Amino acid sequence: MITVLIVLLACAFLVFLALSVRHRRAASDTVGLYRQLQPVYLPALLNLLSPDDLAFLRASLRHSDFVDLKRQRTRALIDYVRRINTNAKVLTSIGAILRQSPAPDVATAGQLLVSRAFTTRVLAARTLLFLEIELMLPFFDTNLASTIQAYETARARLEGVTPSTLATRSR
Amino acid sequence: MHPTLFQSVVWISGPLLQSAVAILMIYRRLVKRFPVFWGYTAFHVVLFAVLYSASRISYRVYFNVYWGKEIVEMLLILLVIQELFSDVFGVYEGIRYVGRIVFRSAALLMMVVSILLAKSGGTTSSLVERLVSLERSVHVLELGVLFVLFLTCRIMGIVWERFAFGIAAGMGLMLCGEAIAAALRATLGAAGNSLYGNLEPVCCALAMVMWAYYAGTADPQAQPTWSVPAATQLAEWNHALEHFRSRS
Repeated sequence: MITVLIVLLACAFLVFLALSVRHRRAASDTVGLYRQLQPVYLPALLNLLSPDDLAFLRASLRHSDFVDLKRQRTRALIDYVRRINTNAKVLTSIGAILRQSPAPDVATAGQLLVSRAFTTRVLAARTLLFLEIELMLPFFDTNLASTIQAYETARARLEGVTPSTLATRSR
Repeated sequence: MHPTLFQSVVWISGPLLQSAVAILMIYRRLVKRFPVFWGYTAFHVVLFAVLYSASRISYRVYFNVYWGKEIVEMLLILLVIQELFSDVFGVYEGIRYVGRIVFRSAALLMMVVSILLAKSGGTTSSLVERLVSLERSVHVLELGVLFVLFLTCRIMGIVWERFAFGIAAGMGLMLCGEAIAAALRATLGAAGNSLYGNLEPVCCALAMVMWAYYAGTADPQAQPTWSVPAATQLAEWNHALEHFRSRS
C-alpha cells in the first residue's frame, strides 16, 4: 500500500516537474507577462470607496435598497482587488526577470519590485478575505487604503524602470 | 555477479558527468552562488574513486563505505534544497523571511510524514532493509520540501533563474527515481535488488545530464526582452474600466 502510494506520488511529482519546465519557459517571456496585466483604473476605484458617497446613500436610501447597493459595490471591489492581486503576481515575475539584468541598478529595481509586489499580494489576499465577509455581512466595512497604496508603489516601481532606461543602463 | 555493459556504462557515466558539472560550474563562476551544490557534486566524484577502491578490498568495506555515503548524501541533498530556498528567496529582502518559514515548516511537516512512514514499514531484521526503509523515508521528506519550493514559487509568481531551476529539476528527477527504487526494494526485498541497482543509477545519470545541460547553458546575466506598453496600456486599462463601470 505504502509502496503504491510512494510510486504514485513520485510519478505525480514528475508530471508536476514537466509542467514546471513549461511554465518557467512561458513565465520568462516579459512580452507575454505584460499581456497578462489586467486593467485597474484607480480613480474609479477610489471613487467607489468614497465614504461621503456611502454616507449619503445610507441616509437617503431605504435600508433594504442600501444593503443591495452595498453588496453590488462590494462585488465591484472584489473584482478590482482580484485584478490587483493578479497584476501583483505578474509584477513579481517581471521583477524577478529584471533582477537578472546585467545593469546593477536595474537588478536592484527588480529586487525592490518583487518585494513591493509581494507586499501587495499579501495585502490583496487579506482584503479579499474581508470583502468576502463584507459581502455576507453588509455592515462590515473593509479598509482598502493600504492595498491600493501598496499597489500604487509597486506599479510606480515598474514604471520607473522603462525600456529606454534599461537600454542606457545596460550599455 | 559481473555487471552488464549497460550497468557499467551508467556507473562510469555518473562520475564523468558529475566532473563535467563541477568543471562547468567553475568555468561559469557558479561555485560562489551554489557552494553546497558544488560540494555535493565534488563529493560524488571523490566518492566514486573511494567506492571503487573499497570494492577492490572487500564486500564488507564496500558495504560500509556505500551506506556511509548514502547517509551523508541524504544530509547533503537537504542542504542543497535549503541552498535553493536561500537562492530563490534570499535576494528579496521583503520575502526572505517567507522562504525561511516555508522551508522550516515543510521540513518539519515532511519529517513527521517520514517518521510515520518509517514506523508503518514494520520491524525488519535485516540491516539493509532498515537502511533502505530509512532512505525511502528521507527521499519522501526531500521530495516534499522540494515540491513546496516549486509550489511557493508558482503561487508567488517568482521566475526561477536558469541554473537554480536546473538544479531543482534534476534533484526532483533523481529523488523520484530513488524514492521509487527504495520503495520497491523495501517491498520486494532481495528480489527487488536488481531493479534497485538499475533504477537508482539511471535516474542519477539522467539528473546529471540535466545539471550538465543547465550548467552549460546557464546565463548568469540574462537579457530580458522588453515591450513598451506603458502609455498605450494605461489607455487600454481606462477603456476596460469605463466599460466595466457602465456595465455595473
